Amino acid sequence: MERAKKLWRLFIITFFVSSTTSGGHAITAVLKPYFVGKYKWLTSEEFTDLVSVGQIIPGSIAINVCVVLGYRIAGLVGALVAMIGTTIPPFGFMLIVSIIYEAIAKNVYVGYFMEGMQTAVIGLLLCVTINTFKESRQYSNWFGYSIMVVSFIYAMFTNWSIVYLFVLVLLASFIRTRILSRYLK
Amino acid sequence: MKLLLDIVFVFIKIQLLSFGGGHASIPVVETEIVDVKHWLSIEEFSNLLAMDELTPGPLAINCATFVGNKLAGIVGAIAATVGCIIPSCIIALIFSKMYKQFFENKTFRETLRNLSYMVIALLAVTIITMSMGTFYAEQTIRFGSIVIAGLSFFVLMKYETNPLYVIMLGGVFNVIINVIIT
Repeated sequence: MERAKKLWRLFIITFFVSSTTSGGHAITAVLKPYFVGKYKWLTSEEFTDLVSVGQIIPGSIAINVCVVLGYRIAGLVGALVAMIGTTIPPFGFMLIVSIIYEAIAKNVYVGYFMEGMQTAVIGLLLCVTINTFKESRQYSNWFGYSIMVVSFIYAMFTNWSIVYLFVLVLLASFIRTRILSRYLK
Repeated sequence: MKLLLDIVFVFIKIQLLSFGGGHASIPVVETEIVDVKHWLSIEEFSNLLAMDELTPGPLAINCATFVGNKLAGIVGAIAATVGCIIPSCIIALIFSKMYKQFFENKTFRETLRNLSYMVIALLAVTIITMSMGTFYAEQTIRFGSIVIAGLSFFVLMKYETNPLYVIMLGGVFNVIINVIIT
């Protein structure tokens, strides 16, 4: 009974958070008061550790964080419940939006509006890119910049999948930290 | 059925390649869906990004639902979303057991850092691709669009505003500009 109640709460929290925040880093700020504060499922330190796990592994941060938290507090079933809670709202909203989009995209004014939003998104992306660059610059070295240049050329001038570039970066990075770092400073 | 499996695998691939979540996955989606698979045009992709800002939830799920729905209706949307979730679940479960070892591993940390350089370059390329379609269309330079993108960049860089409002305003401005011109 206690367990069912916990799972239900977990579902409600993830569902609520996923339908109100736009994912990514914002989600952790919203989850903390529930997991650490209200229900005391985790200590603040455990929460921070688990959130960083969700952030460093590949994939969507919101889903990762919810799965990791759900697993920690209620095992596999908890992970499953948290995952379903996180996925349903964006899936539902986007399905509705996609269907509406197909119906109204031909309208001239809707077209102008969409186009204006796309344009503003370019400004947003530029802002995100510059901020990410600023954050990473404190560790920067020639190696990081070479990766940047190679990735830029790869993505700009080829239509190949990112997989090959990804493997290349992994290999180069492995070789550098494991082998070259002994000889270079 | 073949298409559905294809959708699932493409989204598994996208998720496995997206380090840093959210905006970091935009270039990956753009390359795999627009350049490699040709499932969306660059205009549709830009539209998708605008809609993602309007709807809550992670970008990956929003993209998956939109692309899946376009290709194969609701079944496609479900297939794409499932593809999105599978890698997260498996990796998250493995990592939540042994994260301490990874956190303390120097090679692992360095590799993540190097991947973030890749992400910055990829984001820059996506911005350039989107700008080419938006600022220069039908053989004319669109000054209105340049102003909207510039203002949006300036406001978001300078103030801690919710991007949603800025993007909606961008839409409204563009309607006004086009109504005045025509």
